[in-house]
Amino acid sequence: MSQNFFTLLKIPEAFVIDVERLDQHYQDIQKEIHPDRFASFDNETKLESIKKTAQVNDAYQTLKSPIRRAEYMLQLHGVNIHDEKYTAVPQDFLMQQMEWREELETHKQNKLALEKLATEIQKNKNDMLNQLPAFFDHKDHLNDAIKITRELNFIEKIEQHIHDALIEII
Amino acid sequence: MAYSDKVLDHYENPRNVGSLDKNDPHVGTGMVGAPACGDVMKLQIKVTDDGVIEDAKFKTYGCGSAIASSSLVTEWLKGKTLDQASEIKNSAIAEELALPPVKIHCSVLAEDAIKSAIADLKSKQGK
Repeated sequence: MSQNFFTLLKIPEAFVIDVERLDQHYQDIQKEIHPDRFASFDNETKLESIKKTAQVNDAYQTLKSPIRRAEYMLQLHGVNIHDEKYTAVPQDFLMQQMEWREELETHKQNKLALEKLATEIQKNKNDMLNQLPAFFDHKDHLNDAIKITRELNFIEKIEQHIHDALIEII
Repeated sequence: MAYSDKVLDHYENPRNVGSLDKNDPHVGTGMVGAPACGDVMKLQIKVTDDGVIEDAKFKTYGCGSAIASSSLVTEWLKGKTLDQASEIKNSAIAEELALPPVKIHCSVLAEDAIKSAIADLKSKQGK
């Protein structure tokens, strides 16, 4: 039914991707299946083109973002990161999250402090993202990939909050 | 999404926000997080020598339902024994706060925070 996103966008199934190639293939396929091209066709064909376009957009957005891509690859392995029952995130990681959130709360009005916090978090995020390719390369490390991908969800959340706070200031 | 009156009440007037000394041998600290939504919850309990919870504090970074769930359980925990506390179920929290299905995981988080705090206390006291 739903085609593998990597197959759909004609790139090799791996965590490290050629982003330019992804962009190029996405644009090519978009042109090929764009609903405007099927304006004079029957409704069924038009509907098919719309569906396909949505699917390709979804695949592209998923693969373009490293965190969404990691989640998708885990999903292909039968692991759903958004499993709501899971709460046993490592304590030291949660402690760090608490501290960052407290810092954000304290400095909500302070642009410089927020930017400093954002830089620190960005660095952590990059370190985590850099670990993922090796984890996805080896089947034995699937659990490590799961752990990092889960943790990245928390990182994304606080980044969003900092972003919102910065917009409030400006 | 519309929050129930009880959720709004806890959200606007959270009970027992704060921290207890995590190095106190009578204090158990539970830390849990939900990767699905990025919420982080810290729940602390302080027990008497008889094993009765005399104080409970929480700090939650998350949505209104997560804050309300943790606020509510700090009220419920006080005066309970550890055994009674470990019997608190997420379904009771969800029911009390009238949480919609998409917010059930917030009550799961609160239940797991209680369990985590009790486990921390027990390991500290060598039981």
